Amino acid sequence: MKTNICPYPGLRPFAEEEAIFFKGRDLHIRQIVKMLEQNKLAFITGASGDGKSSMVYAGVVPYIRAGFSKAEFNSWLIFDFKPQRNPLESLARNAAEEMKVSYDDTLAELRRGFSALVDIYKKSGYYVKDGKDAANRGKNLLIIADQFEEVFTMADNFRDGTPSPDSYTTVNLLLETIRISVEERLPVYVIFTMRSDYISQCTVFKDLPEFIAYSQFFVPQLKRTEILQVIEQPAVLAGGSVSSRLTEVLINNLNSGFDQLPVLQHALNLLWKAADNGNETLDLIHLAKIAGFPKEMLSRNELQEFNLWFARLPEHQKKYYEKPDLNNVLNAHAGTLYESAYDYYLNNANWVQKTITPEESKLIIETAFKSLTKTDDNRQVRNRCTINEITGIINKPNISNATVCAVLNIFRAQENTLLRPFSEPGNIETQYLSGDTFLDITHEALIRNWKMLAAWNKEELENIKEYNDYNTQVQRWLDNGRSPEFLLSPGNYSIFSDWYERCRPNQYWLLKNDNSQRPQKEKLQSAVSRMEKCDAYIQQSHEAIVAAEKARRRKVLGTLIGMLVFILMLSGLLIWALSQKSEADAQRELAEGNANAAKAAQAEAQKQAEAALHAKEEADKQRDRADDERKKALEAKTESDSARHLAELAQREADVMRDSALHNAEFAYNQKLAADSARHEAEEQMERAKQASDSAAKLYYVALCNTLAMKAKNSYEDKTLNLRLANTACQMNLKGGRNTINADLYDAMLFALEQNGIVHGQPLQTGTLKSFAVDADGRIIAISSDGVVSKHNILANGNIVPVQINEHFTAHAPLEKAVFVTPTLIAYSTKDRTSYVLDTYAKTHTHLPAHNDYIQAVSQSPDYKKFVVSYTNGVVDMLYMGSLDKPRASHDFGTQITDIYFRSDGEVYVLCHDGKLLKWNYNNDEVLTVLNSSADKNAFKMAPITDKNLLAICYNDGVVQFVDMTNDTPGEKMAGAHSKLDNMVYDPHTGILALSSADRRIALINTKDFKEKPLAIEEHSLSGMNAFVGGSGKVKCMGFNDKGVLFALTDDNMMHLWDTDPVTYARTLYAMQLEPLTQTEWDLILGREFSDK
Amino acid sequence: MKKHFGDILILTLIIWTGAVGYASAQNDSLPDIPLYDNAVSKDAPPSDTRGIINGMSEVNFFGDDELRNFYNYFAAGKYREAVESSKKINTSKFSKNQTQVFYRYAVAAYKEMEFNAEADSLARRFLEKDPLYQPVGYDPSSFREILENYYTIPKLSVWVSTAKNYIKTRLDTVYVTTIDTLQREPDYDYNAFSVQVGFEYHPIRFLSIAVAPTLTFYDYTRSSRRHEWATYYFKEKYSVLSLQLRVEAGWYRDNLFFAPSIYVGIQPKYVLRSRYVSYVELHRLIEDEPDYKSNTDVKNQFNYALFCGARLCFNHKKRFSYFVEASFSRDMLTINDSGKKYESTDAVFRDLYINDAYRIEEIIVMAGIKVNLKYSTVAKNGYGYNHK
Repeated sequence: MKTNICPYPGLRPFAEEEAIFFKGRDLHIRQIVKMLEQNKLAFITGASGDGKSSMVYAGVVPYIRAGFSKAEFNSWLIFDFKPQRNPLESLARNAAEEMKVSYDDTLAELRRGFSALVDIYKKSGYYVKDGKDAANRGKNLLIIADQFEEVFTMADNFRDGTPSPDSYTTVNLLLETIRISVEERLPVYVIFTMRSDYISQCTVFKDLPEFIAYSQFFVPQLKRTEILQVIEQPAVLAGGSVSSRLTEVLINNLNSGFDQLPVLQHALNLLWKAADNGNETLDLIHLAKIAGFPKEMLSRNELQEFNLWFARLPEHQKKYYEKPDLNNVLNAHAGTLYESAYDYYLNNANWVQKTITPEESKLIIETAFKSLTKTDDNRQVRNRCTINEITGIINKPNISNATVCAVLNIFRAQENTLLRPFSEPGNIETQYLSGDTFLDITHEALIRNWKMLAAWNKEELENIKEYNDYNTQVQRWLDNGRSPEFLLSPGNYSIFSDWYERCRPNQYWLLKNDNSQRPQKEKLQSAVSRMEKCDAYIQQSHEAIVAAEKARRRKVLGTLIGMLVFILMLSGLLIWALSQKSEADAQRELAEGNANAAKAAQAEAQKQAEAALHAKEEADKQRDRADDERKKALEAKTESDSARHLAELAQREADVMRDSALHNAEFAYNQKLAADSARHEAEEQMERAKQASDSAAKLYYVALCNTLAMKAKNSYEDKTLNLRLANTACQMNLKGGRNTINADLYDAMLFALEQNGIVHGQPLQTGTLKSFAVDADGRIIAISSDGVVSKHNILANGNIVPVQINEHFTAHAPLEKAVFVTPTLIAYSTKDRTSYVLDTYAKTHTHLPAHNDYIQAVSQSPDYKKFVVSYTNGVVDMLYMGSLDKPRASHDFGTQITDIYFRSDGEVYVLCHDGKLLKWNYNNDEVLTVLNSSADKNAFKMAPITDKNLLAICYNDGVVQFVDMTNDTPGEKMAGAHSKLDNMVYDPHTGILALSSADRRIALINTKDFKEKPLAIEEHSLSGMNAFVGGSGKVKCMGFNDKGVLFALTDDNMMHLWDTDPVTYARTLYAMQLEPLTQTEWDLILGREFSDK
Repeated sequence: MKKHFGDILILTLIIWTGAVGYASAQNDSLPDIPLYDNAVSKDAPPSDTRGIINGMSEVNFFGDDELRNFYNYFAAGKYREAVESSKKINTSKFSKNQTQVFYRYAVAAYKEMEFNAEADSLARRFLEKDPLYQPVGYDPSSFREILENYYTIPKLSVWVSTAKNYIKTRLDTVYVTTIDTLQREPDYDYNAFSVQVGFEYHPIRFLSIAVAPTLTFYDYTRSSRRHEWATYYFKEKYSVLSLQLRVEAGWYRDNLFFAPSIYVGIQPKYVLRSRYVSYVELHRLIEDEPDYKSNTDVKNQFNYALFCGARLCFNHKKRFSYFVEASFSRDMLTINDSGKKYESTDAVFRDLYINDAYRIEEIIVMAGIKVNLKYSTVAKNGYGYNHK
């Protein structure tokens, strides 16, 4: 079996010596060389994985070395450099090496910038300006600045939009070199290769954009035929072959965009190995074996072969075959290497002591690849790193540089080439690298296609963000003098301690992430210092939180104990309360027993009361029998009286006989007198004629009296004129021979006296009066709405003055209704419908039985021992004066009651609002209808005319109905007024019945002669001249004193007094000794035809 | 529960409105007391000869034959006929003066006829029609006596008011921002005011119920210092429509110029609109404030508060009264919905900020004008005749 050279380099670029296998770019190479010839510069840009480096190293360089370009000399001096962490040093190192001069001198020279590089070339001996065989002795110079984007991606070179001085010097050197070579036609050429996404950042370098503008070459994508060449021709050149179906599958599965060629080259590299290093035709089964093609699409035989092969694979490798695809090949390869690294380490690294576990080997790989990648402006890029740094970040005593090298060697092996520098089998120098050797990922396609690495990269990015947050906290803590106030809170501690455990940061990790442009040593010192502070911060935060947690637990424990004690106390209290309740229950049962016993005793007492009642009934019967006996005795007395009467009749008969004898004697005497009589008859005829003449004169005076009375009721400017007219009318009345005064003259006198203020209403200064009474001494007893009881004297001049009372009586207030039962006994109701009796004599105040309504009327029995009270709800109670708090009899009449009258023991007249008059016998609770209700009338008041045994009832139409109380029959009716009668009061001393009506008038009916026209107190006496409808003047209450003076309380709170005997007022006028009317007044008022003579 | 919050709110409103309406209907209708059913007098109404009535010309005053007849009966002391005549009178077309005349003499006529309960009922009806009527000297004494037993208090009122809300935040959790701050606790600088319309109903004298839609505008700035040279600002403006449902106990006296009251209630809230802006102020350079963006979606759009307060109403018996009040309100939910906040993780990265979980407490100082639409009568000292 032959061993063929693998014509596919994998992820690494083609080397110059592999130019033969570099296919598909012939045209592009020529274009670049032509650009170099013209401009001395080719700025090759393209996407990552477009093959820029391969095109230079395996395309352009062999092309010009072969002499296909126009150049001054026949041979070439070519050196390349990658900017890495210092582009100037890198340039100097490679330039010195190629031109065989001292590195230090070269570096020092290059630091001067500008023409330094050209100067070195000119002095190097490779530039032969003239002379023999100069073309063969001289060498053209080609400088290749590969991966020029490292100027921007490496933080050492470019930070915060500013290039480092060495970067700036390097660019300056290269541009000046180009410019001088163009000017001086020197054979010096420069090629840049750079990822196109950094092109915009080139503007930071002066002049660079201008140079790029005329020499940029953007690497085009390969066409299908060119890709066909890339796949098939290298295999043929290496002695192998590729099946056309594999070619088709590869071309069809190749994605456009990033990583097109690296993925393909890597896959072809693995295919070559899978096909027994090209001894077999590269086919689909090989693609399936490298996890790039689904096995289901293989033929039966191939599938069988594949399954046998697949069964032998280790388990950890099989998972990569779940989603076979061309892009999965790199992922599967790298993943397999990751899983196999430990075994490779055990079997191949004999030069290192085996001190690590499989997990530690994975940790080394993870840490190394995390360190070798970074995210720059959301782009995942390579990050060169030394072995020392990786070892330091791992920071485990059992892991040395050698171990790190040994574990990572599998990725550096020539058959894998995922990391640079590559190792060679058997060459320990290439396997065991020194600590300061930089490692680098061969191609960024690995970062984008190895899923595990992408995840690590993301995790690392998170770690860096977390660190930034954490560092902010640490710095704040430090800025505040390490104050405990600024230590981490429990929540923050939880977050950051998790991160700390996960990331395990150390000084090397900090160093890796330090993007400052300070010297490496200084950075390391800073990282060490910062790490110490970070450790101290999290440690102290932990201690503070533990201390706080302990304090909180103590507090919770204290609270729990407190609650337990409280519950225990509460339980004790509950038990005590239950025991108290059971004791109380026992007490209650005992009380119930006692109550039952009391009830039994009460029943027994009731029985005894019934027995007593029975005994009383028996006693009543005995009394009735005694009455019968008394009646019999009376009958016997009557018989004896009859006998005595007979004796008296006999006596009278004897007297008649004697009188007859006397009569005969007188007859003679009478004959004598008859003669005398005839003589006197003539004299009498003359006397009658004289009387007729007197009578005519009296009638004249009466008429004159009436006219004067009428005139006296007019208003005059001189108010005494009213008095003089009334006085004159009185004189005429006397001259008219009348010893009584009629209603007109009475009214005229009242009017005149009122006009002159002699008779007038007077306010009682005791608040708004509700009611009043006149006592036996003629004093007024009044009660006001605020419950104050007051007494007033009437002076001789008629003025009313309050009497100083030592002991004030005050009722409950405010009053709604008050009625005087007697002058010392007042029944009243307050606004809230509670009723009382106030006895100012006995000084008692008694609550009446509750009826939740107002008192309407009261009346006392003739013997003053009982009284009845009616309420607005139609209930009438009979009460004993001694025990007012409970009714002895009660009756609900079911209708509105307006007045009541206690006629005699057992009989009460009840006047209903609808005009019905009832008689209630409270002894047997019988009700007798005396008067039926009238459909068009309402009755309001009644007044007993006791001396005539009549009951007067007044109605809303002004009619007064009399009822004979002897036999309860209706009697006379008379019109008391033309409107509603409000009040009625009877004076037994004078026989006057006073009636007040709604038209502001009081009629004074003389019950001795109902036919006599009643006197009347007209409206002017009640309310003055400013009367108005419904206004003042309405009589609220009336009363008489024993001298026949009428008292009336009007609703303007005025008390009026009138003498019902008109003679009194005539005397008053007479006593005033008024001037008689002058002739002029007489003539003006009465006329000249009238004369008082 | 949150899903059905809106339904519960609407149901509560319906029940509340229904209860108020029912209670109002119950109180509006006075007991229908029959007014004197007996036969009418056949007498023609007496002609009035007084000429002047209460300072007004009768010609200008009556303008209604029925009212004139009724008045003439009364003036003649024919109260029974006046009562009967009053029942034929339709007061719906009367002017205010005519209505006053009618009730003045109708009440007096019933009282003179000792239809006490009916007179009371009529007087109350009059006071409800003309609640601010003050008895004068020329009123019939019986009418005056009855009126003195009553006073009126507002029964149905409406008010408008405006308030300044003083906000205190109650932080439940302060979330760690992606970049921590120098401050342990954030500063909330709140500014808020509200406007309110209220409808108040007095079912009984000392108690009222009210429903008051309220619109409140909140505007706050949450500032936190990130570094010595940078301050993070989160500003938000949101408006909330709420509905106060309150029960109020008041102390109403006839002889007092003012009426104090206290109240408690619940206040469902709905966030109408919410907009925010966040930015960092660097190096003491104030950049232009960015545009506000909506974040209603992370709000607890439905919330509710419990509140209590006290009110002092001046001139409360008059048609127009005014009041001041102070109340304390506490939200029961946080202003933001924590669950929704975390769903929107992009907000965290975009704004570098997670809203704190906090609720607000408010002290609301309010002043307003109240219009009393309807009144009810209240008897003094337990006065009142029972109908027989």
